[in-house]
Amino acid sequence: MRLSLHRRDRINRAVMIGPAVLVIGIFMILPLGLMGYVSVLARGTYGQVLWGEFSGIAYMNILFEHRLDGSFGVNLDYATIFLRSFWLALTTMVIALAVGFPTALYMSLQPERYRNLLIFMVTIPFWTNLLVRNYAWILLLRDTGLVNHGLQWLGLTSEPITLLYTDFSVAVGLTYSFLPFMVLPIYASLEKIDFRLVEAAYDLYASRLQALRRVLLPLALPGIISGSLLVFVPCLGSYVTPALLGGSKSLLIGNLIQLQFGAARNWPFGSALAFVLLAIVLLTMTVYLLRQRRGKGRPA
Amino acid sequence: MSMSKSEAAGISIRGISKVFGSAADQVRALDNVSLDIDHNEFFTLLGPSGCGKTTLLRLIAGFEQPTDGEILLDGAEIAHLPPFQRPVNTVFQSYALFPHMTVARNIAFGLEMQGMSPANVKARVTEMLGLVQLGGLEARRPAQLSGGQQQRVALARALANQPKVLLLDEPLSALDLKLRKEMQIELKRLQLESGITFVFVTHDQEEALTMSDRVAVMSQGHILQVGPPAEIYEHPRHRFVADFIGEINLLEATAAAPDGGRVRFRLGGAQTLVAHAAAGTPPAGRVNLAIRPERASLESPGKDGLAGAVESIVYIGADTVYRVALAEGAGLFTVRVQNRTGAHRAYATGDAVAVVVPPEAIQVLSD
Amino acid sequence: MSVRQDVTKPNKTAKRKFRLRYFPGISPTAFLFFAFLYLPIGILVALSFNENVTVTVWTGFTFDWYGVVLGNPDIVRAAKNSLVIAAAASLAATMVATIAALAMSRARFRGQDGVNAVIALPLIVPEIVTAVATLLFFATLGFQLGHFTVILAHGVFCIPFAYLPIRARLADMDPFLAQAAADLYANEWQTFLRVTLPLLWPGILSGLVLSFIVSLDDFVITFFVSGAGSTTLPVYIYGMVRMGITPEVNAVSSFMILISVIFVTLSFILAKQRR
Repeated sequence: MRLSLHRRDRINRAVMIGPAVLVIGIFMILPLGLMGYVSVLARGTYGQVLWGEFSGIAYMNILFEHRLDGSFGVNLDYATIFLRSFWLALTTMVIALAVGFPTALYMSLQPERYRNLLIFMVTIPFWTNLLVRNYAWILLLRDTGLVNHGLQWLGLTSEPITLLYTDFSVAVGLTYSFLPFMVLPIYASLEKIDFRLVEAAYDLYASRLQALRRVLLPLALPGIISGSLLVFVPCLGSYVTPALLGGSKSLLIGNLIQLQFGAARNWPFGSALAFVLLAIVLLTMTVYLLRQRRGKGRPA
Repeated sequence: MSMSKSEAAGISIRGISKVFGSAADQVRALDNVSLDIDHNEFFTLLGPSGCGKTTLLRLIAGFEQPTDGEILLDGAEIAHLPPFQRPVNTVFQSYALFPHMTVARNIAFGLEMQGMSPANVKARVTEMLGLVQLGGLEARRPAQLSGGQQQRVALARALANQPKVLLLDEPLSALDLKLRKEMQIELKRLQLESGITFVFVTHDQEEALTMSDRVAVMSQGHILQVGPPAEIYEHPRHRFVADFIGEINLLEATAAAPDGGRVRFRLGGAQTLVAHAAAGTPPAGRVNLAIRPERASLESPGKDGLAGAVESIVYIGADTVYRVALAEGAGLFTVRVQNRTGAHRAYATGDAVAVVVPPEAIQVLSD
Repeated sequence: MSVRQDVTKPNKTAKRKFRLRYFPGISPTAFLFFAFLYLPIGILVALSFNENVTVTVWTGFTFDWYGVVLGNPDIVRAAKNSLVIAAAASLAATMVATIAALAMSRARFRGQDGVNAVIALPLIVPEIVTAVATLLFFATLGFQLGHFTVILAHGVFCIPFAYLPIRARLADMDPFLAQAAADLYANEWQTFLRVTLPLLWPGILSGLVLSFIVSLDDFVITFFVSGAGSTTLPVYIYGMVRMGITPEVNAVSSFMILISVIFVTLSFILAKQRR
């Protein structure tokens, strides 16, 4: 009698969780596997995928290329793109942290009624179309854009400066896109802290800076780390911002991948690039999760 | 306020064990527990947290399945039945009132689930509200009620279904002292009027003593002793039971062999106590004795009793509590004396005294 | 942070009282943050009322461009597509997420972590990777790119967005309520209908709204898997931007911002409903 109750529960559970897991399994995990498969296929002369013909050429092409004289040499073009993506993602993360932490701190110190309004104000850009938000910067940064108009009107420059389609504009766009992603997790962490701990620090002769550094910062660390991840990872794989605000000189990984499925028509290469990006992201997440587990006392 | 007396049920717990957790870290909440609860009884499960009393209650209610053993209600096995098929209702410690329903809908819930007609439901709800003295609050939401009112709604909601058994999981623990005492009287009255078997769980021993027909004292998954409050209090058989309920003096002694219906206990040196040899007195050897402080009295030294000196005196209004250091390292003894003017001699700290213990006040513990 | 607000004057000299809940510099930084966040879209919306065709030179105020946008059949069709796809994807995702959340909130079981990982997967994998993989999948299987493929792709990433608020709401629910219902003779189905569902409802609606707006806003994945006839608004805007900066783009963008604001407000109102 007891067994049938357990088995019935198990079946019920499987039926209820099944659809979600199946949908994601079939339409996400399977495609990712397919992508991995394609990444080790060869490419034909007209750009078509040669099914069944395996080759590691796609991965090799990330760093190496066939020279015209037939030799095999290092090609740093793609590596440059990877590095640029890393660099921009890192910069964005640091800036977001520098601006986001004080903002989150400010929000958490406000009385209840203002806090909800502030959260609301941070949330709106969060859910606004990324395309539209980046487009706004085109209006601002182009040669006939508002920033240049302003600089000229102030007399600081006589000719428009090229701001758009540079690494700079991409950095600005990335920061703008992902700032809310940093603020909200940090705020969530700070909000949970009992402020009396800070009061205790002051009672024990700590200055404001010391209280911040020794009490608030360590306790807010989980939020800081998750906020940083939430900024870094999407920046690494971003497509919209570099597509709109970067030029052909400021390609990031995302654009490079898209090219392979567009003009360049090299699906194996595109899949390989995507796979490498995925691997980097998954690695980062795994390290993060393992550290969390170890922190909670469970075996890593 | 009339409640038709339901056919109260007898519960039999036979060899129940409950184990939680996987092989690595198992918790044995109940270990081969057996118990019989009579019809129309106010039965209390008493013990500290973690003793298994709540687990046992939940097994009767049907929220847990036993790992081993049987649960019988009026002779019928119910351990395999889900909660909604048992004629048993529960008053939860946190009340568990449905926040999105009014008081009336809460009370009506069980009746609606059983298919009672709307007219009858309404009548029963009104009756219940009157029973717990919450008439007029039908349309309120639980969040708008005080703790005491919520508690009574929870009670009404359970009783409305006229169950065979009412289970109460520490229902009074969230109430302040005055309210608690009032509810204790209320509950006792309700049980007597309705004739429903009440199974009450608490860790408050005073509560258990005042309300119960019988008490089961539990510790670490075992039932140590079952009996009416007087028996539990005056004749504890286990050290734990003696210690958990009220104040107790615990003494180590060596028992001599019974001699003509009497047993002589030696506590260190020349101190001795004499008790009647009860039928189940353990053979000679080391034993633990339990003596209630109010059963002993203080006399001037020399009288037939334990010699010692008064170490401290605490005045508690109705009584005075003397801590006496017994001679020859026999330990500390607490004596509680009623403060009746002129009825006894007042002693001072340092005075030599004799602690007199009547033989029938000596309990020999089995552990 | 918790604890009552203490109102004191700023700490300028030793004579003034010490302001407890204050750190130097965070106020201006926060102000800067919000200004930085809202100025660009504020300017965007403002310029959508600019009479001038050269968008960044202001000549006068007008609603004309909104009229142009509403009269453009391509835009209207793209908007309709967006709404239809978002509705279908979010509804399906919410239903799937609800039953999954219900099952996950019961007893712990082996593989629970695995399920959590699978459900979180669409949030972790970079959009471009998902887009590429999904495109490959559809292309290899010979699916024609159209409404169907977009709804499927959207449904996948809508599931975690619907799941999270529902799961959170379930975690907040008093676990004894379901037991109380069972104790009062409700079987599992009745308990679900009369107790669990009414209390869960705000969470479900929240999940629906969230996944709706996420689907509406999506660009990258849609860009890859939409065919010619199933262009959504974001994809259309991208095309417009590619062709050049015109006032219509501003007007359409402002529309999208308005929709976002409406939906975020809606979800906030829903979150406020605490029963």
